[in-house]
Amino acid sequence: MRLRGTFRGRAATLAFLLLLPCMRPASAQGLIKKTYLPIELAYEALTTAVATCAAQGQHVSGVVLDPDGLQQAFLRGDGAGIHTVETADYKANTTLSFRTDGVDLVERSKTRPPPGPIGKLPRLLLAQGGVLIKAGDEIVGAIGISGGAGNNIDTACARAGVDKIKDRLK
Amino acid sequence: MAWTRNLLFRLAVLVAFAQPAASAEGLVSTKRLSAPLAAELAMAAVAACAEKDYHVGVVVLDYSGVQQAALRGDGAAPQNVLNANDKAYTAASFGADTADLVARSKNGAVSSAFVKVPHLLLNAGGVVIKVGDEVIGAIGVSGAPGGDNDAACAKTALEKIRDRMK
Repeated sequence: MRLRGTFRGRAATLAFLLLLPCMRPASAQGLIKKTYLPIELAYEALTTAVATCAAQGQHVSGVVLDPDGLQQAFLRGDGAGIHTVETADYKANTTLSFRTDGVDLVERSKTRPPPGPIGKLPRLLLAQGGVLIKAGDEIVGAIGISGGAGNNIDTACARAGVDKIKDRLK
Repeated sequence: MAWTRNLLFRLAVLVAFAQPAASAEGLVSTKRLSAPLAAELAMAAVAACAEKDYHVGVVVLDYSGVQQAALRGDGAAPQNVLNANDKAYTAASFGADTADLVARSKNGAVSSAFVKVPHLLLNAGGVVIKVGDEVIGAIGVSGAPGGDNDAACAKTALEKIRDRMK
C-alpha cells in the first residue's frame, strides 16, 4: 500500500508537472498588455491624412481611435460637411470592431451581407474610409476619414496618414 | 383702449424695423483658425503640459462653439477631453478666459448660477483665441493639477501660433 500510494503520488505530481506548461499560456496570465499610439504619432497620422485630402481639394474630417475605440485625436477639416465628424468616427470604430479596413468590409458585404441586426448598432457604418493602424500583427488603433467625394478617396488619405508613421510603429 | 393698442403696435413695428437698420449688412463675416493651425495649437498645448509631466486633454473650438480639433494626450482620461471642451465653450461664449470668469464670479460680477447650463463650466483652463479685439474661438485644457496650470499650457501654445493668425 505504501509503495502504491507513493507511486500514485508521483504519477499525480508528474502529470501535474507535465500539464503545467500546457496550461500556463492559456490562462495563467493575470494581466494583459496592450499597445497604444503616443499622441504625437496619432496627431501626425491624422493631420497628414486630412492635409493629403485637402491638397486634392477634398474637404474631410478625421479621427484616430485607440484600440478600445476611444478618441485620441480629432480634426475637422476646413470646408468639411457637418456630418463628416460623426461618420469619420463611425468608420474608424467599425474598422476597429471588425479588425478590417472599411474598404474590405464593403467588398466582403457584396458576397457576404452582414447579419441585419448589426447595422442597427450605434457607431457602425458599412463604408470605406476606416483604416487599421497596426504594429506588426497587433492593432494599435484606427483612423477614420470622411468627406471625400469619390470612390475610396477617404481610404487613400487615411492610408497616407498611416504610411507617414508606419516606420515608427515599434 | 384701442388707441393704446394702436400705439403699441406702431411702436412694435418701429422697433422691429429699426433693428436691421442699425446693422444694415445682410451677411456677417467671422474668422476662425484654419484646420492645420487649430490642430497645431492643440498639439502645442498637449506638448507644453507634457513637458511639465501634466497629462491633459485639449479642445479647440471656433467662435460658435464648434469643435475644430481635440487631442487626448498620453495618460489623459476621456473626461479630460470633455472638460477641456466645456472650458473652451465657456470661454468662447463669454468672450473671456475662464480664469477671469472665476475671479468675476467671486465678486458677483458674473453669476455662478449659469453653471447649470449644459457645457458651461466655471473652472480655469479655457482661454479665448483673439485676433485684435475679436474673439475667434477658444482653447480648453484639462488634466493638469489646477486650472491655472491648464491655462498656462493653453497660453504657451497660443504664443506659438500667434504670428500666423492673420
